Amino acid sequence: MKRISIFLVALMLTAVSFAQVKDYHKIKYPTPKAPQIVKPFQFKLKNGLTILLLEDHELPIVSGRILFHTGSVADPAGKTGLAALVGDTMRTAGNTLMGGDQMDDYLESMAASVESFAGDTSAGVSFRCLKENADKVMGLFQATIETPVFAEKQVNVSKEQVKSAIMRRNDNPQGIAGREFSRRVYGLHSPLSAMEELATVKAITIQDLKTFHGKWYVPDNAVLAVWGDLNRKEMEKKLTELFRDWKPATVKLPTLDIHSEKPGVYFVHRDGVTQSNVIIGHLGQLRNNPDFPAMAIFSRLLGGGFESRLMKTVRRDMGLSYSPHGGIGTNWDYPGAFAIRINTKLGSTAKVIEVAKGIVSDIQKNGVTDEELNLSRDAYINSFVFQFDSLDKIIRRALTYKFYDYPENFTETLFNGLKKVTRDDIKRVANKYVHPDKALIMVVGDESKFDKPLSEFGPVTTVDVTIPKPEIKEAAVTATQATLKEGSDILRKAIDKLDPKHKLDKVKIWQIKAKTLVQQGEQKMELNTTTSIRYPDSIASEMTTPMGAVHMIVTPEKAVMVMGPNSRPLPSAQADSLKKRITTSLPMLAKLARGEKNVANLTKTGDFQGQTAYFVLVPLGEKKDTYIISKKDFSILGTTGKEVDQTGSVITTSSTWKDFHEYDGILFPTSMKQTAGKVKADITVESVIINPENGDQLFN
Amino acid sequence: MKKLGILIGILLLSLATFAMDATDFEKNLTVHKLKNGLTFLIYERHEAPVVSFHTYVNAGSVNERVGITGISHMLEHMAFKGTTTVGAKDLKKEKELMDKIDAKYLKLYDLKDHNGDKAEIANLQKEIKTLQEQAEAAANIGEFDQVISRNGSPDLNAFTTSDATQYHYSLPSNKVELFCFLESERFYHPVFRQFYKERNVVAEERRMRTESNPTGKLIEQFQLMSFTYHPYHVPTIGAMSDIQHYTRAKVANYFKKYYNPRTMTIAIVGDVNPKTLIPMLDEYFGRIPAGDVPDPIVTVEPKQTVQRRLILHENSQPIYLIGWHRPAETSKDNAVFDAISGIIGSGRSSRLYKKLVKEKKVAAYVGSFNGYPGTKYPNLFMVFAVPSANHSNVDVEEVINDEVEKLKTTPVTDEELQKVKTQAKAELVYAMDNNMGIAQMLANYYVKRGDWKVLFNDVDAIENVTAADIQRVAKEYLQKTNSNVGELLPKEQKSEKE
Repeated sequence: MKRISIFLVALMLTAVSFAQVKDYHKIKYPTPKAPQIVKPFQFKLKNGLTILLLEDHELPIVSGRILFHTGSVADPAGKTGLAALVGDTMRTAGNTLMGGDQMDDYLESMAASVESFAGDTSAGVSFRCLKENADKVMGLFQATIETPVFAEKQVNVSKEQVKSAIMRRNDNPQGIAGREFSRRVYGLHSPLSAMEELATVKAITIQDLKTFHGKWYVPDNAVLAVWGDLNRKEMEKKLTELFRDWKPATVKLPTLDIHSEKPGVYFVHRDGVTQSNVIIGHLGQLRNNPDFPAMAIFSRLLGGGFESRLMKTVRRDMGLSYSPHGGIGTNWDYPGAFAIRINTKLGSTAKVIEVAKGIVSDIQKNGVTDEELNLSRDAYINSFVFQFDSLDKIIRRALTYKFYDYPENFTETLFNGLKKVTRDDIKRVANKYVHPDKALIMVVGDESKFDKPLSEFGPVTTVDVTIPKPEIKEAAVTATQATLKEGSDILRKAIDKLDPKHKLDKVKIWQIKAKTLVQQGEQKMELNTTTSIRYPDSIASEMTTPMGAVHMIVTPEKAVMVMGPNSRPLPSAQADSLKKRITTSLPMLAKLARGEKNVANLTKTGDFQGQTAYFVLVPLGEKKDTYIISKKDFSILGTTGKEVDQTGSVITTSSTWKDFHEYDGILFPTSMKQTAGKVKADITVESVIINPENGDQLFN
Repeated sequence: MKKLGILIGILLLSLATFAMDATDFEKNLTVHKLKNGLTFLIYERHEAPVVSFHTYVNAGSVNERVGITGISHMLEHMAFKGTTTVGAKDLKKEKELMDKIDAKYLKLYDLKDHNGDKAEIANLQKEIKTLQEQAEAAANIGEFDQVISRNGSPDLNAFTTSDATQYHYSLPSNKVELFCFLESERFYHPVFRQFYKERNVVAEERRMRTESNPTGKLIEQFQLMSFTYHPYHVPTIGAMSDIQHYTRAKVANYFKKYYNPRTMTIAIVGDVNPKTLIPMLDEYFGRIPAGDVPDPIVTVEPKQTVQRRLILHENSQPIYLIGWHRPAETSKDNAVFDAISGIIGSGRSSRLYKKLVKEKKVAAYVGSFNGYPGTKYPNLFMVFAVPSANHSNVDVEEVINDEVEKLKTTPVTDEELQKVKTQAKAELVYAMDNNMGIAQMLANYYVKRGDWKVLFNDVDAIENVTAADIQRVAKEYLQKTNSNVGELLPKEQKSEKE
């Protein structure tokens, strides 16, 4: 009893002895506890696979992760996107143990995951599951790594997803800025800058996936870590058994070609935004640089947190940006980028560039204050304990160090280094590794609202981010002098039938009014259109839709779209499609048919809608269409061709021509049925006016 | 090849036998309520000498009204500006200067709103700039976040949603008293320094997240359309015009009304000892006077009787959203909605992913979730899809509608139900692996559901969901007339609905 009461009194004393302070500087802290620094167990299989293990019994979870030295930098020419597609489909397209879709059902039914992934210089597979499912999940993990089958069905799903990502890569202006900056820092010819395109993804075959996997996913090119609620000895035995039959091979990633583009301003126009995305920078450093601790503190002070100069000046004191940040970027196995990134309203675009440059040059000239250095150093040193606050963090970091061949005590060395960094060191690294005069400045925004022209900051290069469409591959057609002569004669006769008095040769401007019923799937829309062409190079198209009128004008000087009071530049895809209508119009066809050269090629004679017809391939501008011409009376029955649509897919186009009426001596088809991919259009021509008075006004 | 045969043999569907247990959890949990109404949830986890703090303030953009939209978020920004002791140097002088700045800003707003004289405006702006410089010189700007940073916090931050405003950071475990000092000061006597500059930062945040981001624009318009009377209508970032008319007084009034011990709950998770911690909490947080619980929101969103649709043309590929009105998180059908979302829209084995992405290849991604824009009041069950390159919103809409219809006509399979039940159990285990995550869960469940134990009860509730429940709920709520559709389309592409 006595002992207990003393204990109670002592307890009460501690309770009442506590008193709050009025100033936090006066708080008396208990001695900090040192973090528990545990080391994963490491061993190596005969086939060269290095394995790290760590027991963590807090929760009944087992996790694993394997990394390989491969990635997009290993993509073969013309097949950019291969590594990423392997990284995706190793898991989704199944393995010798189980199909991909079946795996989705099976893993999700037990709330487990196995995922494969690929970056630029590393790729891998990870898993996580409840302990009770570890054997089953690890079996699938092993099969995903060693024996993926790349089933075509799921590979095609992934290819669709990649195509979608390509089409969407310009949706977010911030994404455009980051990507185009990085590509110029590493140089447009570097494998780090290669972009997957619709054509390169299309070119990838199942065999390519298998070959790439077979080459790179070998045990001596990998490090595996497994951790969680496991028994180290049992797991060692299990993994040794699981990966026993994996055959070794020697591979090495090529040395990366990195040659930055020239300094200056790189600009992407973007309308419909209220903010600019600005990035200023150049090539950065490797993480194993002995100056890494000083660079880390410099970067933190420049733009790494609330106390940084960029945050203090650009955000807190000037209110110009929500999250200005920057620093000397580092990577494990190739240089990062020194970069300052700021989003700001369009009207302060130049201002933030000036301010950011000023901040850098001030640090270069005057260094940082003792107060800044102490704050930043304390912040780092006091956060040391968070480096070791979970076993999960510890083993993931150990895996990274082992994989990139860094010393296993890299964190401890770094923190020891941080303690020793001086103001001179900061100034030294600021001058040694940062060169604002050699910076590349990337800007995405609407230049019409900038506070100053970007040319103030150096030569401006406009960057075109248009997504390239794949080329149309024509089936090989034989063309001989004879077939070309035959084809051209037939085409000439067909034109003469439409235009016996050679009126088409004298068309300067013509205007066609029509009703068009557009149909895609079950949706229908009726439009009234007026299309005016001024030869040789201008077109104006007016569409009246249920929502109002849209006017589009393309001349050599401009390409605009007008809706009510609003006018804006016409997207290039649409301008191109309008231009195509000039080159494929009847007067141009007549000019070609009546020209001296025989360029129309008779490719075949065959049946078309129940009658015998000539199929004549005619090159008009960039487009090649086959004109189908009746053998009986040389009337044009229709056309077929191929085109690339707005999503970059090659689609088939066709038209049938009927109900010819005479306008000014020219026979014109007034009923046309057209198809372009899945879109159908029924066109009924209401009038054709040739050389209207004041016709030029249509193009203003 | 020998081992493969054996493995296939054991690849049989299995059920999770392990689950987190509320009784085990409770052993490490202390709920401590102060006299002024402030509640602390303390969870001991001695894995490492660190601790995470999560302050949940039961006020968010749902508590706003026209004219001050976005003010919860503005206040969140101001809660980093210090107090009468932290960040203060010559407080009396600073306060006088801030009052002067306020007066000048009122005048400036008035001039700008009424097409005032340009020279007068410029002059006023110049005067304000000088006053701001003087006010900043009379303060120790940035001290609040500096002290937290300096003491090693790797994760100081805050966020505002429709339902709440939440603040969090972690510290080494010997620094618990620093938290008690700073957090109690922060909500006892804050000083809204650099107010008008921070207002500009918030305007930039709006430009970044909403105005210059096509998906951000779509989501804002979608929210505005989906709720007509209920204040879930209000986007958290707020209207630009409201942002540009904020005053320090407006924020102070809002703070006074919505921030007090009875609207706040604090979760502390990590290497702490409640015996020594509780006296500290009493001392520091006990200072804050009890306030009133704000009036409840009585407005109920009227029953929607016609599908609403918005079509937004932007520099972007198509995105498709659809949301059906559903009851609040506290509803008995909450678990049924969780099950529906799991079955049709979570993961590669979900019905929508299988149909849209794998089979028809009309979408690159599709998913679903509950609780837009919040969960406290009746909200939306959402499905969103990213059409693939050659497809548009029409193609995905058809399949989504079909799958939703199927939920009404055909019972879901036992395997599907079992999957969502297993996942609910496992997800709770996975969520227990870090201090900050546990702290956030505890605070949210405690406030929104009235008891942290609901965290575990929810798993039981899903366990009891039947195929018939799913049919019933789908029929009752997932009706066309109860739905809202948002479409993002490229500028040049027409929707079938236009």
